[in-house]
Amino acid sequence: MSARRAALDFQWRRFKGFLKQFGKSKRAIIGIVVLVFYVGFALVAPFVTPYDPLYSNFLAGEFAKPTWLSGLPGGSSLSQNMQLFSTPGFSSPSSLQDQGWNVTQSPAGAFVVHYNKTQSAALPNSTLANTGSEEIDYSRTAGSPAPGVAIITISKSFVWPYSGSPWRFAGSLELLMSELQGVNAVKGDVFISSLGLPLPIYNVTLDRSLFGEAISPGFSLDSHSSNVKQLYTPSDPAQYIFLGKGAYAYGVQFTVPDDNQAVSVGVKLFLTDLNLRLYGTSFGLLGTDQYGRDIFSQLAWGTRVSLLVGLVASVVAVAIGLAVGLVAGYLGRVVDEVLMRSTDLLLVLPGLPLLIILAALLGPSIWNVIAILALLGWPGFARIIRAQVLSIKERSFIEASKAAGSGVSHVITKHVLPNVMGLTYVNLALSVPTAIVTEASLAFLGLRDPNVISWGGMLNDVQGTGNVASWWWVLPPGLSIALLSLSFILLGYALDEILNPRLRMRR
Amino acid sequence: MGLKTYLAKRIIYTLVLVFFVLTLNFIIFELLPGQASTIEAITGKGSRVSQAQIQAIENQYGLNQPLYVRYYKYMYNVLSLQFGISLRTQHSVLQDLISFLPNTLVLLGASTILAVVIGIGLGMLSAYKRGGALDTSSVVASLTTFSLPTFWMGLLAILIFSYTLNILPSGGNEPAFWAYNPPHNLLTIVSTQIQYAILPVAVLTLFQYGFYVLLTRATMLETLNEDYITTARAKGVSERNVLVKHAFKNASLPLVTSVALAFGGILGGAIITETVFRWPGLGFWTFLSIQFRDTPVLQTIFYLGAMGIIIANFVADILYGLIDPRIKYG
Repeated sequence: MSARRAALDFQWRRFKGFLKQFGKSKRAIIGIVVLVFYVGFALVAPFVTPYDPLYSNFLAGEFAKPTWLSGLPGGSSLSQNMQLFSTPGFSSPSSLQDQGWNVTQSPAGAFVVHYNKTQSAALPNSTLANTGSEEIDYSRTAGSPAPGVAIITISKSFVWPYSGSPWRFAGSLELLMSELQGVNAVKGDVFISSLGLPLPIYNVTLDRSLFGEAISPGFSLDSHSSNVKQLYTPSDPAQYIFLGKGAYAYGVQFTVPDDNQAVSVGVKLFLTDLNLRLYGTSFGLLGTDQYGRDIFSQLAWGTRVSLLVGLVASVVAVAIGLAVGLVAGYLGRVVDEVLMRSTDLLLVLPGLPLLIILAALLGPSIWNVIAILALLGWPGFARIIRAQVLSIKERSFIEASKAAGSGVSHVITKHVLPNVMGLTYVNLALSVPTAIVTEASLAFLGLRDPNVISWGGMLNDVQGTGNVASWWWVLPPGLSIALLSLSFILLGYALDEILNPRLRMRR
Repeated sequence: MGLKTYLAKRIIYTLVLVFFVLTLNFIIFELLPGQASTIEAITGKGSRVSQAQIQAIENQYGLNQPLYVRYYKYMYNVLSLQFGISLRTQHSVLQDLISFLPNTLVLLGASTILAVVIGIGLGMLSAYKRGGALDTSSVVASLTTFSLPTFWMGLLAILIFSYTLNILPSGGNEPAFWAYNPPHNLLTIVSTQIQYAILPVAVLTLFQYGFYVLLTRATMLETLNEDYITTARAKGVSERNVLVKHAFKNASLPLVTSVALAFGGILGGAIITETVFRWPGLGFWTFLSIQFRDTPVLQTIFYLGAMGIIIANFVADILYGLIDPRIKYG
């Protein structure tokens, strides 16, 4: 018991000595600081990034710039996201007033607008399906004077605070007509009024064929839809309509063509989800990618991928190399010959082309990439260990142990292995950056797991979409790869100096 | 052991390596994907295939033949340079290879020469002025270029020189309009092509040079401590001659082998550099083929890469045997 205690004590003192030397090395400190930063970044990724890195499309306009660029020269025309309401839909009797909608009609008093709790205009599967909607009634009995046309406009004004246009706008509206009597059709026009001038974005003629059917124009109210684009060719609708800071309005207008005094007229419309979303040209800390996803989230989650790949692949590769080197070096003869010739063969293969081919054939899932990196990463290290073992096994303490009757496995694990652990730690640290950079290279070449966002994959997006000039998108992932790799290299060199004292004397 | 036996041994060893690489290539491409996915690759993904069609494909491509027949056929095809038809271009792979290869040779040649010259020069100087400012900065610079991913260096170069300073083209190896309106003035052709080559060559040089700096520095440091250097200095040989004729000549031996050993790594660097700059060489060809899962092309590139490394190692072994009189050909 006390012998064991003494051994533990010795280990503890040795470890303290190691820490002391480690603390003296400037390289080790820098390496540790960078590494701790990135490990921390990887750990807090879910908390600092409110958006999913892969599946949160259209957070803002595509290729949005970082918001802080608006403070720099040339960034004054950047806009940010804006929407009329965060909770759309008419869901209470006072919604219309509360949300600030303006209702104008001509002739005055021709329409009655009120909230209807039971009838919704929304599609049955919509979240608004059970919240009710705003009911618009128009009725005139036969014989009373016909106005010619009756018009009702429901619109809301808002102030666009940015001097530049939004990247894109997307309106929404859900509509249902449940009564149509005495007229052939009602015209509905959705518009955005730009500095006082109403500009159309969508129109619908509500005739008998649309009777009783929920109408949800959806994408047709979007500035990227073909019908809206067509109205403003060759300009971009968002740029044509939003000319800078000022008052704008979004709304819908219904026109009832009532000119036949002899018939009585009745029209009943239901309306909900009247809203407008404006996608900014700037977003978040690092902007957005080609699908409008948050780049900062991708950077944070990419840290996990790089650390995972680097650590797992190199631990497995080093373990294989250690086993092969120990066995080949200690057993010698046929085993040595066979193992070393196989490592020679592996060393002669072109690394990256082989990785590319295997990843392409097996599929570039992240675990496949890790497995390939691990299985191809060990030969060099196996040779180093073998050379070391060859010299260790001639030492007298091995002889002594053998003479005392130790078996092969005992000698290898208790006497040889502890003497190559220093080398192993150093090589572990130095092989992590190789794995990280190789994974990033594969991802950059397009061999990337579609379910995982990695730094190499981000740069693949940059290159693939021709956005190399977007430095806020190019620099962070590349710098991260470089810094994380450098931290492991520095750690490796520091370990090398401490664990291999001969080197310390020479430098 | 004489030179002849040494040569014979190296040749046999090289042939064994070639055989191994060919067999591995067969295993990876013919056996690993399995029959089902081979048929899928031929017919197109997700298409419905009848049993009769499968039979026909198996007959046509010899998939139902015994393994040794397929292996023999494969060996025959590869050794007679019949690499099959590219799935992407529908040309023979050899034909495509001939159009891509020269560009890669230009890129690899220029950057390797530059890297060797700069690397050896810097390495010699830093070893000579060990611990000085030049030594420290060149070692730090070499380590930095080691840890920077090549593709990112390429993207940075494009960002700085093509987009910010707007002085060099961002990709390709000639202007797009040359395809239908080729220039006739030789001077224009050469000067324009050089402009297109500057960035890729520079990046691939940066990728390689650090290795040579560190290696030259290490071997030079060792030779500069030798007694014959002291002797040379005592004789009054100029410092320049000590450095070049006495120290470097002896330090250059390990460099020969390491240039050969570095070949595999340079190949990887070339694939990435060419992809970043859309330089129409083997690397960009690889990139295009990855997107297309163009296995005949990938197979050929792997085969060529491995052959390149084997030949480079063979040449280095022979050169080493010839240069160093101390080598006892063993």
